[in-house]
Amino acid sequence: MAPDVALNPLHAAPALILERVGQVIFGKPHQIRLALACILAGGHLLIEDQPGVGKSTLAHALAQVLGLPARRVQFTSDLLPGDLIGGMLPDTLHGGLKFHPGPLFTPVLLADEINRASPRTQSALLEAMEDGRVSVDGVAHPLPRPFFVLATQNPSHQTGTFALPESQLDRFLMRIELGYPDASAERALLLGDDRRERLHRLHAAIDTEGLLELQQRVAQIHAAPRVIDYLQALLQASRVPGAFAGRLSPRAGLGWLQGARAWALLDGRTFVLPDDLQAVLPAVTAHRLDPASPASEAPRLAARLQQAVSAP
Amino acid sequence: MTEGFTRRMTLRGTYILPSRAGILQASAWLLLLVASLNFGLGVVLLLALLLGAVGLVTMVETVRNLAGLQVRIQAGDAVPAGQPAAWKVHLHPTDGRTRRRVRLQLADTTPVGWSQRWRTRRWAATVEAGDVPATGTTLWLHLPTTGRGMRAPGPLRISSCWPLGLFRAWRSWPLPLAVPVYALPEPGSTKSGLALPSTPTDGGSRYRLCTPAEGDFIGHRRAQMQEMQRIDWRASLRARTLLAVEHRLGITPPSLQIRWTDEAPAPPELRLARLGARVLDADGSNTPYSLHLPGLDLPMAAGAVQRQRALHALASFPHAEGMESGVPAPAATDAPIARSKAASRTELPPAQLTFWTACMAAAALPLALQLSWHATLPWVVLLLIRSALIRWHRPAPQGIALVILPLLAAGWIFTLYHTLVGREPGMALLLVMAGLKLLELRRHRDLHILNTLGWFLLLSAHFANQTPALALWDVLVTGSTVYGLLMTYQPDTAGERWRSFRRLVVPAIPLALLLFVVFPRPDSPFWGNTNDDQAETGGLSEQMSPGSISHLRLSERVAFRAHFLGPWPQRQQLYWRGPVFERFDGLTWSSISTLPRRPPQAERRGTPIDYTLEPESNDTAWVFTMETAEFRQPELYSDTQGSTHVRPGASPPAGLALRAWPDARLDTESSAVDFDYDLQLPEGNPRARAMALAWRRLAPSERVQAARQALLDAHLQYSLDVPLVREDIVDDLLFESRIGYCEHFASAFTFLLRAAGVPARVVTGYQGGERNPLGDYLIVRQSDAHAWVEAWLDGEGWMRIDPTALTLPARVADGAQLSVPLPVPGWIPGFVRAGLPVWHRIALLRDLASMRWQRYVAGLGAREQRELLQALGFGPLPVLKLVAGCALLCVLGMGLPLLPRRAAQTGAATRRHTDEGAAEGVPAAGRTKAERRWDRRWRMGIWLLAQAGLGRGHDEAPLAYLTRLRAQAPGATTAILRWGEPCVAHHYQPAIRPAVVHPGAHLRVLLALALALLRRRLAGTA
Repeated sequence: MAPDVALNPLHAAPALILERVGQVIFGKPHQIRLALACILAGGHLLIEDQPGVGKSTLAHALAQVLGLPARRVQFTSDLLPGDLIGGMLPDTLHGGLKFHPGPLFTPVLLADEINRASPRTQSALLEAMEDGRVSVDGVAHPLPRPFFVLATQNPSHQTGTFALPESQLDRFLMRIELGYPDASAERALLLGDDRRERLHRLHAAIDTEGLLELQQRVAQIHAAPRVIDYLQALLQASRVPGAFAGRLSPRAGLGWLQGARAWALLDGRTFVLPDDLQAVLPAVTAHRLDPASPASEAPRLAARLQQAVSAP
Repeated sequence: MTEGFTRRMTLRGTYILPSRAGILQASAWLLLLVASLNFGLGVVLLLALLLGAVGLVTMVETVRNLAGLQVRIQAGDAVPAGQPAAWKVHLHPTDGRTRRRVRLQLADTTPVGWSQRWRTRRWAATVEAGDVPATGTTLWLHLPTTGRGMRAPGPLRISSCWPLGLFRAWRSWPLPLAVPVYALPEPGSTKSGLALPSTPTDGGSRYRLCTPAEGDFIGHRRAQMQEMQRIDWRASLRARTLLAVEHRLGITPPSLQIRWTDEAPAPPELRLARLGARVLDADGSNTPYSLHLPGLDLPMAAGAVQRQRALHALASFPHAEGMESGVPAPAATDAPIARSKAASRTELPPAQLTFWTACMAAAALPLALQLSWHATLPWVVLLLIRSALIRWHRPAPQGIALVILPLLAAGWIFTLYHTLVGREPGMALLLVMAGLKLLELRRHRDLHILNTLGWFLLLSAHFANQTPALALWDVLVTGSTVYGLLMTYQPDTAGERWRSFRRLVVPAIPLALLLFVVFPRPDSPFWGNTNDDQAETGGLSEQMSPGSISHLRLSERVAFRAHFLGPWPQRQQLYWRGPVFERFDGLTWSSISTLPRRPPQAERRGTPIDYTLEPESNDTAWVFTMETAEFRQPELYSDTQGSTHVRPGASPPAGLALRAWPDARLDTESSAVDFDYDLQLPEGNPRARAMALAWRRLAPSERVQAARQALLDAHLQYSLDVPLVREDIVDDLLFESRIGYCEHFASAFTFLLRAAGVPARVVTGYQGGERNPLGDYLIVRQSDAHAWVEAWLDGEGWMRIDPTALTLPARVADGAQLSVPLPVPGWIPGFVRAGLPVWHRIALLRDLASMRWQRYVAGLGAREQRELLQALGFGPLPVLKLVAGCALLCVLGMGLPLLPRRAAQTGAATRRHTDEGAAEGVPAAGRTKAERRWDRRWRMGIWLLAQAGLGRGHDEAPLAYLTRLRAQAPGATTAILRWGEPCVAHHYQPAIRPAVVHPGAHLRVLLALALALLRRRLAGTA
């Protein structure tokens, strides 16, 4: 894995990331772009789809191209919070108890099939995802920066799944659906090398510093008063009683704006347009507007919200 | 130079009063206003209000010109007595606007006259600063000095009478800045070096000359770089500049102690003068010196600072009691220093002379065209002389010529009219006066008089003519005179001047229009307003002879207009009664109006018709009312024959509300009729007489029937081509030519009836008229003039019989225009003939416009004003409230010129607010003007695109929309991008401050977009 990060100027990095991830996931540029925007916005990503469409591959590819160490945790129904966070173990050297960090202490956590774990384990992730730290026995242990959770889940109607609670869903900035590849993409997939092979051959397109710098830049993207007005109007529209099953929280609004900023950055702009808000709208809002709905319902929900407000 | 003080002129702190020219113009304006109200000249009222509004705007502009000007004043250096003391004034506009025609005046401390407070101060120094550019300007003011002391000036006044010289705005401040004036050395001993003794050991010298050792301190000088250690900080602090200590090096020139006690005993002033000479000498030879006066010791030093201190000390040394000045000051220059000529006295340049000559010619033209050429002749001659003088650069005539020329002109007018009073001679005199004033025009101050003369010239032209064209002419001429005045006070580039002109006039127009709506109209004239000489307007005359009505058929002039309030009457009822004729001399019918008889008894029957009548001109004594008339106006009266007149000396209101009883009967009792007149017949017409005499045996009503039958049997032809009249006009019509017009028919029919013993008379007036569908009113033209007959039958009263209707029923049914068409000349091409209906429609439209103008503007529209104000919910307003309304409007109008500035300021404030708001993530409440313009550009563009079928979905984001447009309208891509992309960038991009884009640029872009879309559509349809 030759680090060619130094050769890539930062402004070219997003395009490079997209291209490299695209070498593994065929025919899904929009979803890859959304995933990257989510990461640049500092949010956590939930990928929901049928088994075998490449959810885990996408997560792995992203982690690899971002040049971040990743750990994968397969969530099962008997997974306990301690298995994730770690715990106090006796220190053989100095005596007493010492905190042994679990697999959560990694920049990128691939939470595979997160909805197979019990709600207790799922909620163990809450503090980690929101605050970037873990408290064990009243002691806070900071997580590394950056910290992303790339979770995959199967549609909830499948057997042996626990639906994610709303509070947990709200902590995922975006939920995306991969969907089956179209004919040409599938053909390329069938004819090409082994996926795992290609995954191993992927080079990092950016390093940790570069990623943090990009996140900084996202925060500096200008959002004009008009954009804020539009966003506010959209948030208000989601809160009209009876319009949707769920309502958009202020956290959702913040994340949405951040996501739009990241989208603008990926478009090579230094300012947010209403287009950006609309581009990330389905991914950001659908799982919040109706937590029980599958990802395939997202476009319909998004369209309802978007049409409720006139664009500026 | 000492420290000065700085003041800033504010809008509120600037005073304003009308100048002399302003008072003159205001009184002339008032006269114009009163005259317009008194004579009911709406156009003149409008003009006067426009001028008044311009005056108001001028007032505001005058104050605005000075407001915001920053003034910094410093006193100048010390001067010897006799030399003028100077003050430096720096003017600087704080807001970057150029200030125009600023004048600086400095008063003297010594008051002139019995009270400084109430008398105009003598402005000892006046400087015309001219225009003060945005970068500021510096000027010097000088005052003469007489003796030693601190010269304190009086107040400083800054004033300006830009733009039109009608007002003067000013501000004055007392100046606490005195200039030291030291005594002059005594004459004869002032040569330099005399005072310095040649050797230090000179025992006779009263100067103590020190011989300092090397390294001694000898004084201060301005510090250089790299000598920080030599700086004398204490001295620097006092002098407010860095001073280095100067030490003597090498040969040490002597230093000087100048002492009061060393001087020979002399009067103190003389001593001070001598000391002054020493100081100057020492300073001139660069010798360090110290000054020792009683109560004051100045340490040893040299240089400018030392000199300044020494001279200040000498100047401020107290005067000895009872001794004003021991030194004879040189004769003070009594004449004011640098007193510039007042602008009003300067001569006019030739370009302005030409301009004003043209203006005055234009102002006098309408009046000159109304007068006879004899009366206009002197004016033309004067104008020619003036033009020739300008052409050959000769000065204006002066002296005796200005006495002789008016006398000549007055004599000429007197020989023309045999009087100098009355309307026409007065107009002629005014014209000549204007010409004479123009001839002697030399200076700027004459312009204001000329200007007012121009107004009166225009006013007098309006007595006979109030058409929109003349109103437009008024506006052009007065606009030119305003521009002409501006030329005097702003001798700038034409572009700048034009901008100033627009600033004066544009806010004045809406104000004037509003004032015109609100301005109270008087119920009756302020003073007698009689039309002393009835102008012959070419309508119906006081007599009727063959041809007198048929020639009116050729005239398309409007006689009057009528609005019917209820349903329209039938054409057969549209008889507009005018003069009634009872006396016949065989050829001409005339009326007997001298008879003192009572008005006719009208027995009103049937349903009345209510209508309002608007005579086109109010200079005829008749009011043509529909038969039979009822009215309540005190200005009207009915004569014995039932015709309606205007009372002498009264002027009828513009719209007469009248009522007609078409079925009424007049004078049914025989006692009411004087048959002597209505049966009177001259000799002649034997055949007709013989025929009528045969009917005498019949009953009166049968006689009338027989006369009708005779007329029908004669198979008369109704035509304008009537052959020449012979001796017996009735016989000729009935038996020979058989061609006639209505006056012939009426004349013949009346003759027959009278000859048959039936009382009859001829009635003239108008019949019919044209209904204008555009305003739904009736136009009655001169060509509708008509004559008919009234016969008296016992029990029936006066009965109308129209012999024309018997012969040609179409005359009544269709009107004169259709039934008796004018021959169309053969040379008119066919397409013009075919287009005549179009022309007719245009003519109707023109008539409507003319009617509205007459009613709402020219006729003052008092009734319309009441109606409008009532419609607005004000109810009947007393004059006082209307005046208050006008005053309120004026105050508001004065704010108009200030408005743009205020708006810009609030705009800036809003912008700051939104910036802060954006930083905090709060939705912006207000948008700046520039932002609103961008927003408008965006929305208007979307509207245009929607018209072209490229509308935007309500939730479509801007970039997505532009991308779609690009795909859908490939032909118009450039225009679309040029419109949309800057909008998007401006709305969302950071760091683009509201770009200073001219509003016209937005408009251009939108226009280009519209054109591109139109082209695209045309290409699509093709």
